[in-house]
Amino acid sequence: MTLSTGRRASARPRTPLIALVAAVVALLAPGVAHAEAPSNDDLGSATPVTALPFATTLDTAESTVDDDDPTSCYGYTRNTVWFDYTAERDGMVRFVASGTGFSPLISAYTGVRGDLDLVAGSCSYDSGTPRTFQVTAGTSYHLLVGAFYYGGPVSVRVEAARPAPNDDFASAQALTGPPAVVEGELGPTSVEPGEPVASCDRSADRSAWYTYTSPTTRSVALVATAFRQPSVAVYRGSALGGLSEVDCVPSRYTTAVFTAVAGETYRIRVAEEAASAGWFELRMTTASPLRPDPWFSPARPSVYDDVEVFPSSGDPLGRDLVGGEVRFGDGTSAAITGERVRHRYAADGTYTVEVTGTTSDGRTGTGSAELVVETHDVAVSAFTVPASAKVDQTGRLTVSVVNTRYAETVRVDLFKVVDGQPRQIGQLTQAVPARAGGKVDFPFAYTYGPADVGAVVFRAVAVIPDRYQDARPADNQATGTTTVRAKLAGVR
Amino acid sequence: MLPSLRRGAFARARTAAVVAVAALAAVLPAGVAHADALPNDDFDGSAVVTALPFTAHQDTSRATKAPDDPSWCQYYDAEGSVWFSYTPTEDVILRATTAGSDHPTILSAYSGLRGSLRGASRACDTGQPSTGASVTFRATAGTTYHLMVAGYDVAGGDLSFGLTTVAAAPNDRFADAEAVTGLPATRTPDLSTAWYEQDEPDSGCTDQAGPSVWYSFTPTTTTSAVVGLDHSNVTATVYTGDTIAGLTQVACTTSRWDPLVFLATAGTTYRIRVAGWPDLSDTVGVSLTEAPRLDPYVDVWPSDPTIYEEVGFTADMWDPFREPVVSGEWDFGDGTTAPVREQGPTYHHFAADGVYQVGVTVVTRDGRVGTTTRAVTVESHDVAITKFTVPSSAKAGQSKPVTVRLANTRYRESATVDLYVDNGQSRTLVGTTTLDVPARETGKVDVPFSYTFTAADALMGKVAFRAVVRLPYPVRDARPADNEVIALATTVKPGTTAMKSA
Repeated sequence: MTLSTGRRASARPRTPLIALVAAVVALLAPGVAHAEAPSNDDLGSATPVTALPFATTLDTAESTVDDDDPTSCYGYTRNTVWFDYTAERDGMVRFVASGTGFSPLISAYTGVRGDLDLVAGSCSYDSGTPRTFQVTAGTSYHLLVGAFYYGGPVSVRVEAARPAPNDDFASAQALTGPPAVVEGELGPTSVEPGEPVASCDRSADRSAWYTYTSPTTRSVALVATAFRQPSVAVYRGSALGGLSEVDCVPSRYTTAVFTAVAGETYRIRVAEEAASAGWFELRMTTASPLRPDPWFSPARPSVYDDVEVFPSSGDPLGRDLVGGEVRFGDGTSAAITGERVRHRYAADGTYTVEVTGTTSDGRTGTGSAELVVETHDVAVSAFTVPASAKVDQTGRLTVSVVNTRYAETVRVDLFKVVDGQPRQIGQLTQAVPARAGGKVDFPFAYTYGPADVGAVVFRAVAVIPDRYQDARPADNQATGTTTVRAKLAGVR
Repeated sequence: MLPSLRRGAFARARTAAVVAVAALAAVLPAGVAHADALPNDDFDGSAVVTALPFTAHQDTSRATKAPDDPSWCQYYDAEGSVWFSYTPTEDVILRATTAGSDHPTILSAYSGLRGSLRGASRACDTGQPSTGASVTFRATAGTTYHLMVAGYDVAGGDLSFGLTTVAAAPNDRFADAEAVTGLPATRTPDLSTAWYEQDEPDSGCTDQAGPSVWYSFTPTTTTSAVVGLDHSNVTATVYTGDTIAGLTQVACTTSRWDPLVFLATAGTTYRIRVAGWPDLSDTVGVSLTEAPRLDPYVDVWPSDPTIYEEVGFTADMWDPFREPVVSGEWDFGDGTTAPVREQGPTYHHFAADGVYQVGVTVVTRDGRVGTTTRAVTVESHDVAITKFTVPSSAKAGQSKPVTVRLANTRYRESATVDLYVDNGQSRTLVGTTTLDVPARETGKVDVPFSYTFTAADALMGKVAFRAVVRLPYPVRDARPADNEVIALATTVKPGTTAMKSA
């Protein structure tokens, strides 16, 4: 191996260790100049790792890429150098490379040149170094150190890895809190025989375990943060074979949440695929309370609308309500079942709609919102048009509008229907007081022309311009017809 | 530092390192400097600290930097590094310092394994020339912490290194909250010696679990209390309740620019938590004061109200806490009152002219009360055109009278009447008269004008007169609808006859 210790260090030998390094370099690779590629540039001349722990530094700036360098970890690995390690016993190996001024890329392979298989969990492309992976006694491993863009001084270490202390279910780490923040490593872990398959993460093959027992019944939230996305699963049960899943979330963007019953011990599994397994942080907090926040469609219904109530959970953790009740504020209520909740109010008014809801994790909360039911409903009660007229005669057309609930400003649009198409001929806006039995007349005039001879059809439409829609648009229109005669000859 | 390279030695590395460290630990406290032997230059030769307090003096001028020295704290200006390590047997707060060193240092602490060391929360300091670098961090029992001391722009020098435990802040725990009596009060807790505890409550202002200290406050009289901060990345939260697991939030703030204010009721104990973000390691200033009294003022719109309109009243004030008004009352000075609205003006109609003392009392959510009174003058100036006399027909060249009759009942006014004529092609100001109009219940004032019809008027055949009466600024006529009139058009004929007779 070329034990170049880095250009700077080589240029400034200061300690006795440097002298030692120089001696080793001289012994192992006599005559190698700094500008040349390292001796382990090629897989065929890989530096042997004969015992663990192993550590070295070298400069990969001049190392090159071989045509048959593997691409299964990363397609464009540059400045590759190789180490060979044959495992003496089954276990886990921690492989780490640290570069000065660049991020090394590492991976490990079994097999022979031209037919190399990437060792699961050994590729640092996903999560950076170190990588920890399983080795089998007697198997040879080809360890690759490369770079994304360029090489340089790099420190390489290969060590026997101790499993994470909470790798096994039986040695789970106890959490106290909330709040609690603990750090963990999924690299030196494995999935043990009999370990459950998490419903939200079926492919994980690295896992660490925690336990949590609360003295009081409380709602707890858990989120694991890492470079990639470990899953978090919560179980009830005391033995690996007898666990029942309480909650399972697949990524750091969602939070596991469950109700910890006083005195009951929960088992928490943080898991990941080998390729992404690494350091993570597990945070336990008191789960946010629910603040149900119902909303309505339409937002301002009338007594003629079926208003749909959406019983939003208002949960910062994003869980939906799975049960509970909507109280409409008029003495009636409906259960929350997942089906649509609809209600028709009998009278106008401001109603406080209350939602008491429960999420699947057992949290319950109550919230309310005000719903204004307002029925704005004007109607055209009469449309008077001349029954007959002669050309050049001016006729009077009257639209009568009735209104009983609220004082409205009403606009009446008057159309003449020509070839089936309405053509506006008048518009009048008036205030219409709310009066039972009263009406407001909207007068228009129309002078019949030669084109009207035969019959002319008028249409009157009453609208409330301030409102999106009248509660009952069906009674807002009327049509009338005048029979029109031509002028008698000689009449001027 | 330099890598250890003897391959054969690695199998025995752990043992060798322990031996070396034991030797160093024995040597360093005695203050002996060994310039040539620098075993803790390398991470694997880290000086193991076995007992605290620990101090060491060491010549680190030959320290070197390793490719795998962690870059978490400050990598590029670190020229050389030496390592110390310590494994506490119980959860403690550790403080490391390089005070007394003759060179600038970068001090940081890590846990984990070589090649993947993780910085301990809050444990990175690039130091001050006068005081050296210092880090204070929470250490967990059984975890080994690796302290890296690097020279800042130098390899090293005459290093003084100290490591000791520090006591937690006396009010670190809820149960040990410091009772604050008497306002104003100012405290400067050192959050580097604080941490969170079991059941520490949520704050509506942060979702971070960070270091916190506790205060309690039990006012003897009901007051509006303010909690202010002098630091960013700090949250102050006020709760009520007697156990840490049974607290109810009253108010919170996370901004030094936005102090929190709350209604502190006599006899109730309020729990104030001052918490930093997880990586905060500073002394922060926190104050508890009484809120300044509210000083509202009354906005009136329009500012010159009359009896012919709804007058809008708004109680405005500059409130540094931006607390909403939740109740209050208007007294309009005419025997009527109305509740203060939370938003928007309250409208009132005055039935008669006069000067009214309009008073308002407002109460903010945090219980502060403010009151003020303002005199509002209601004056309804109202002149009216009650008659407009114009000729029904005229001939070009003929002069005919036009009369504008004014009525006025309340105040003697100086009124100006403008008369215009419009023949469809041009609009002409015929005349302007300004005269006093006495206030009389039934009296009238006729304002006379005269107009000579033109040939152009005759060509068009019709002209229309328009009269407008106005009052001098700033007097505003309360009912402008009766201040303008347009007459039916006057028929104008060619004026040959008239010209002859003239």
